[in-house]
Order: sequence, then structure tokens, then C-alpha cells
Amino acid sequence: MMSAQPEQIATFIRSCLDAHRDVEPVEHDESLFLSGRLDSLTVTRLVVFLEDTFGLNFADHPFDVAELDSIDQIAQFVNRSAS
Amino acid sequence: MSTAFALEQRPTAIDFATTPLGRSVLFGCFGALLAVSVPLRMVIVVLGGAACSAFAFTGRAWLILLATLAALMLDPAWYSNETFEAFLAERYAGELISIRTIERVTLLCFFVASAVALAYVRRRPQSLFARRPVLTLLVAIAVLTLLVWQLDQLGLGALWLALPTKILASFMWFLCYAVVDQRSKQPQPIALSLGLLRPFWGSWSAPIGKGASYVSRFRAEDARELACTQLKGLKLLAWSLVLQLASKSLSAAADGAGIPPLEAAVRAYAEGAPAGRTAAWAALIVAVTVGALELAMWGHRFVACARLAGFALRRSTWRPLQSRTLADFWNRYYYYFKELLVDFFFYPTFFRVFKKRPRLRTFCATFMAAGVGNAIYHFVRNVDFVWSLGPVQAIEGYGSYAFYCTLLALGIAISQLRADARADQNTGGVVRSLWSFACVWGFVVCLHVFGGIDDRSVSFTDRWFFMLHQFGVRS
Repeated sequence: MMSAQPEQIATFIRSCLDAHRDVEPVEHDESLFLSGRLDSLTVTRLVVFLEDTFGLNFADHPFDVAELDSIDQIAQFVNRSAS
Repeated sequence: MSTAFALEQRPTAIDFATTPLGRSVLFGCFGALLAVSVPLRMVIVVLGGAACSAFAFTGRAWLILLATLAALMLDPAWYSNETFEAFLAERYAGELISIRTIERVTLLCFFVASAVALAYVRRRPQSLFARRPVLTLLVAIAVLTLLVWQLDQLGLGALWLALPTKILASFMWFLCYAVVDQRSKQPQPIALSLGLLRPFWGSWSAPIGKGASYVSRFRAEDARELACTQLKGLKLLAWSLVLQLASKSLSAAADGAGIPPLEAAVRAYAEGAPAGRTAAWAALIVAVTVGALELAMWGHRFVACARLAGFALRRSTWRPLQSRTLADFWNRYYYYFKELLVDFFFYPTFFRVFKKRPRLRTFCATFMAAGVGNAIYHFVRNVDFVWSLGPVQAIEGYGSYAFYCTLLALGIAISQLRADARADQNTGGVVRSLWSFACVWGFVVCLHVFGGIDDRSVSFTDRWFFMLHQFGVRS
């Protein structure tokens, strides 16, 4: 399992925001899903991205979208899962 | 124009709302607006609960629980419907103790049982109930429902079991969120989880504000944030009253114009005396519009009260007319119901099936949420139909809603997949927006015949032929 680089995740999140015609800048500690900036469909895109890129298996533990709510949290989540 | 109403962006308004006088004025205005449509006793409970939640330094969870219990004691039959009331009245007329008193006692017992259950979940997070709350509760409700029906058939008074079963069914999703909260890495106090079992700010069976962990994330951190949140709550409450007025005006106008209620129009067609296509289309559009206005009005009121309590919750309905896809509509129309289905049906499916086939994976998960989950939610919510109609008729009568769920799920799933495929394209333009609007709302209006009439004696065939007639396929 690979460790996560925040920039790699930030690039993916940027592409998701662009798809939603959201051109505002995004901070690494900014709420993405709970704030409503991205929707539940994007959660599924994120999950597929994390599974494909970092080899995570979300069926292993209870899912809480709040653990993936910002770029920093996503990176921490990946690194925690990897370790 | 929108900035003219943006009270929460004006520093002077925020500063004022952080002072004791400002808070009193804000609560006074909120109470006055709430009293327009809510009994005064309930207004006092909501204001008291909100004040405790927003300003108390200690014991906040217990104060929220107290306010929730007080609200439930004032309105113990919040979950009831006409069918259930008729069932109670028919079987238990002449009881010495009133039904409402029995409901209050049953509710208190339910809260004690829930406290025990949540403590159990915290102690045994790997137990079946903790890992599979939806499945466990569904099985329990099914067994209890059939038992009540059987006892009723035998002529044995089943009130002592019917009420707890109906209450359990009505609180089911609150309890599911509470179980998930207690299993999380940082569980909230059990008192707070209990206080959010149909919290004092109000809710449908789909919890407004989900559970304790979710609500806690939206808690205002300081006095200025609290003032902003409360000012937004006040504005939202005012907006809900405007929607209420619009809904009542539209209903009155439709009545005055001789437009029949949708149910009457379908029945009239089934009885061979159709109301005429134009009148029937008008009935359909009015039913959808009034339904949307009332959903938004109630949702805004609940969220406004939660905001007064210091929780900056998202609106339940957010600009549904701007929906450009069915998936987008689903997200905007009734947010907390969609979230419930996503949390308890979409994600569990998505993480377990067809990992190598992303489109099929998304399709299945969406179908499980918008189709299966939706059907289960509404069947459980009106579980008392099993007692008044019998299990077979209750399920048969549900065929129309099951059809509605199937079509809705297919529509949303296809919309999701198309949106996913177009994710990197910028799709704009006025004509395209108007076309999208017409498609989304046209679909919603046509589908409403199958999902918008609760009465299960209006058969699927009647509704289907009615729609064929509307499209000129059948005379």
C-alpha cells in the first residue's frame, strides 16, 4: 500500500471541483463534503480513486465521510490505513 | 437583493446578537414567528431547549435530552397518521386512561430501553446489533408487527405491543444513527444521542441533523459564530412562513378554480367519471408544488430551530428548482432523507460489490439506496397499515410505491452515471438549463401519481390507467 502525498490528493480534488464548475481555491484543511462543496457522488469517485491509487479497502471498517472531509484528512486517512 | 437580507453578514447585527439584549430580541422575534404555526407551549419548550443548548456551560447534553423529552410529552403522537389514529380509536375506545397518556408512558419506556441499548453498543461494539443496526431493527419490527396483527386477529387487546412497535418503527433511523455514533472512535455522550432521538427542534422519521457526531460538527465555536448561526435560523424561519403562506394560497386558489385533489382525480377516473385532462394535469402539478412547498417549509422550520440552538445545520431543501439532473434533484429536494439512504444503503453496498466494475458498482449502490432503501423506509414508517389492512393487502397496496421507487432509482442511477461520464465537461447554456429543468420536473410530476398518494386502496392499475389517459393513450 502506497503512502499519500497531499499534492496528489489535492490534484484529484481540484479536478472534482472543476467538474462541479467550482473554480474557488481550496485549502488543505478546508471542509469538502460536510460543507456541501462536494456531494455524495464525488465521495464515490474519491473512494474509487483511493482504492485504485493507494490500494485501500473500505469494506474493512465502518465508513465515516467526516474522516475524508479535507485534503489533509484524506492524506492522514490513507497513511493511517497504510500503516 | 440577497445582500439586503444578509443579516448574518452585517457586523452591527452580529455584534448586537452577541449582547444579552440582542439575544433576548432575537429569541423574542424567533418565538413570535414560531408561534404563528406552533402551539405556545411548544414554542416555550423549543426556545428553552435552544437557549440551554446555545448558552449553557455545563450539562448541555442532559439539557438537550430534557428539552427533547418535554417536546415529546407535549406532542407524543408526532409519528401518527390518520390510519393509526383510526386503528387506535376503533380498538381501544372507552379505555379509562387516554391513548395520549399511554403514548407518553410508552415513549418514556422507549427512552430507557434505548439508553440500555446504547450502553450495550458501547460495551460490545462487535455485537450484531452494533454492527448491523438496520438489519436487527428491521427484523425486530417485522416480528413485532406480525405478532400485533396475530394478537389483534385473535381478539386479544394488543395496545401494549402495538404502540411500542409503532414507536420503534418511527424512531428506527434515529436509533440507527445513535448506534453508529456510539460505535465511532470518539463517541458522544449517550445523553446527547438520546436527546437527538427526534430532537426538540423537530423532525420527520428521517432525522434532521442525523446523529450526535454529525450535529456536534456543526456546533458554533464562539459567540460571533453563534450569533451568525442564530440570525440565519431566524431568516430561515421567516422564509418557512412565506412558503407556508404560498402553499396555503396555492391550495385555496386550486380549490377556488375547481381543480380536484390528485387522489380525487385518480378515483374519479377509476370510477368512469374523469375530471378532464387539463384539470387532471393541473391537479397533478398542484399536488407536486404543494408537496414541495410543504416539505421545504417543514424542513426549514426544523433546521431554523436547530440553528437557534447553535447548530449550523444545512437546509433540508436547497433550491430544488435549480436541479439540472435527477441526481442533483435528489440531493437538493430532501437532503436528510437522501443522507439517510446514502449512509445506510448506498455506502454499505458501494464498498462491497463489483469493485472491478465502477459503473455497475455505482448503479447497484444507487438502486439499493433510492429504490430498496426508499421502499423499506416508507413501509416501516407506515407499518400500522399491516394491522388495519392485513399483511397481504398492505404489501399488495404498496405495489404502487414500490413501482415509484423502482422508476426513481433507475432514473437517479442513470442520471448519476451520465453525470459521472460528463464530469470533466462544462455543460452550460440557457436552452440546455431549461431543457434539463423540464426533464427533471416532468419526470417528478409524472412519477408523483405512483408515490404521492398514501392511500393504499388506490390501486396501481388505477394510477397506471390514469397516467395513460393523461397522455392520450387510453380514453
